[in-house]
Amino acid sequence: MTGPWVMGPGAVQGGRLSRPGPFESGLTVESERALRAAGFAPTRRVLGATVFRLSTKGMWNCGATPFAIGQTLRSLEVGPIQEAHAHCRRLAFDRLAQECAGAGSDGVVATGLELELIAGVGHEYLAQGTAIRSGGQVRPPRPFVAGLSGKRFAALLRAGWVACGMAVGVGVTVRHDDLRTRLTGLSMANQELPAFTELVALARWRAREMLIADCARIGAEGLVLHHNTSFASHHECTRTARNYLTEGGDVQDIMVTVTMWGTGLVPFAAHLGGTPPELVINLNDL
Amino acid sequence: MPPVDPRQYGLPDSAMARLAQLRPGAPGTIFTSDLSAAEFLLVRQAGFRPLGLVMGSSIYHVGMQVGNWGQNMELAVLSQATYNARHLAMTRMQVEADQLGADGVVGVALTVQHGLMEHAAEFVAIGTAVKAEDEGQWRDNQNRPFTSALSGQEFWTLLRTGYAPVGLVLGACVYHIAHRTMTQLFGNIGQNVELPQFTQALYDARELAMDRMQREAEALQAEGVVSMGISEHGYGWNGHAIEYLAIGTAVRSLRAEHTIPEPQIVLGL
Repeated sequence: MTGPWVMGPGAVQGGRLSRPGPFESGLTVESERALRAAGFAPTRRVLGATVFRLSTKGMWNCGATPFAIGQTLRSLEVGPIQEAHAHCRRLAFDRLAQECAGAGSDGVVATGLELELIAGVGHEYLAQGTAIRSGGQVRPPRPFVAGLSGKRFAALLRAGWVACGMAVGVGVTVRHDDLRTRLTGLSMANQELPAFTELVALARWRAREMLIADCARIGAEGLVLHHNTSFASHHECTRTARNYLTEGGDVQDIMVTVTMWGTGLVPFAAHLGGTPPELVINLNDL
Repeated sequence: MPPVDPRQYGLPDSAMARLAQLRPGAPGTIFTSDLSAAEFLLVRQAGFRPLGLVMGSSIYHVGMQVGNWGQNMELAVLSQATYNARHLAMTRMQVEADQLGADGVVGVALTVQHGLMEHAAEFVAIGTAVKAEDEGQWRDNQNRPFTSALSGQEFWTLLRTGYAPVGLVLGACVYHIAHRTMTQLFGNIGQNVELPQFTQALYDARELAMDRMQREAEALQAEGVVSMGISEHGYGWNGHAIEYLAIGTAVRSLRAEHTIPEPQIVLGL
């Protein structure tokens, strides 16, 4: 799902990108040379963007009850929030591919994704890369998006692998945090905090599951990861009732968000993988 | 080397034709990997197949430590905490790899993140589980998948020279540096002078960390440790507590001969 068609004015029919003109490249000279040696040429710098407001309010119930002493709470998956996080990133990548198609190119390499907070509005998700076009006659049905540099893209091609798209995985988990969970962190002794270990492990597990499902969505058989981060945020517990004896006054829910994305790969000529690399001593590095 | 005509390899038409045959949504065996593209190619070239991204983590609370103001000493509670937490993360990652039927985990990164909870840190081990194409014995002496912090390039070179990784080994030590007495403080004013308790503390802490790492390598019956790094971090206490972490990849010999083809010397323009 790509959402409404949003494209820069340059990429529409008759716009700047669809007209012949000098090529634009964000690649290093080395990458560009490697790409041309593999039969591709850079065409245009392209971008895909979306400004998105992600709301988390009221999207989970931590399950805590104020008067249950010693209750065991489990970490919860928050599906709608993780889907929304993934959707924003996919939207930016899809729009990048749309702009690439508008420029008459076959795919995008050296793609980066940046997030910027727009105060009071939301986040901007900005994907940018260099569109490339094959020198051959065969055109793929849809442009691919790859986070690989031109040099790495060319090296993979020579080894019989081609990038087929970007896969995204997001895991969001939440659990209630009150005096009882916090007490485990006040011990005099070294100890693991199993509640929080479970919270983070579940978020990572969910992100990896989504990543693999996304690989299947784009038809990839393998993936090289470019981005893997996690962060924790504290939210006011949605319950209004408090039990100050067992919970303390400050009752919160902790949310962990794990984000991963990488380039999906497919093999196209297994026999090419057998060329052994040559050992060189590069005098430039000495 | 003469320039290579991409058409000789069927590039780029065959690559683009493959994209036309994609079957999005079709079930299949998919591997994920945190290796870079170059590392992925070299690991494949070395005869290993990536199976998937594996991880282990532990959120760990560090206990209370009491130190003697005027004495150089190891802060055993803190040393043990950093060691235990890393060990838990590593073991969980190895269990995940074992469940995938892997022979080893390459490109292992051990990181520490703060911020989830006060007085606690998250220790994360992440790597790519791999399986050898041949039927060789690649697991360690306890039949666990080997772990390696080497890059794909180093892994390939190591195998080419007749060595194999057996395990990521580490040693940690948190050490307290004694405060100077008033006599020492006033006695050193205006002079160039060594601060022996600081020098001695650095030596002691480093030695403890290295010794622990060496013992781990010995337990794995390794021949040596490569790509070893020793890092030093401040541990608070107004600069009087330091953490030394020694980490490397233990290796064993695959054969008696360890020569490598003579490399070409190139000068890039």
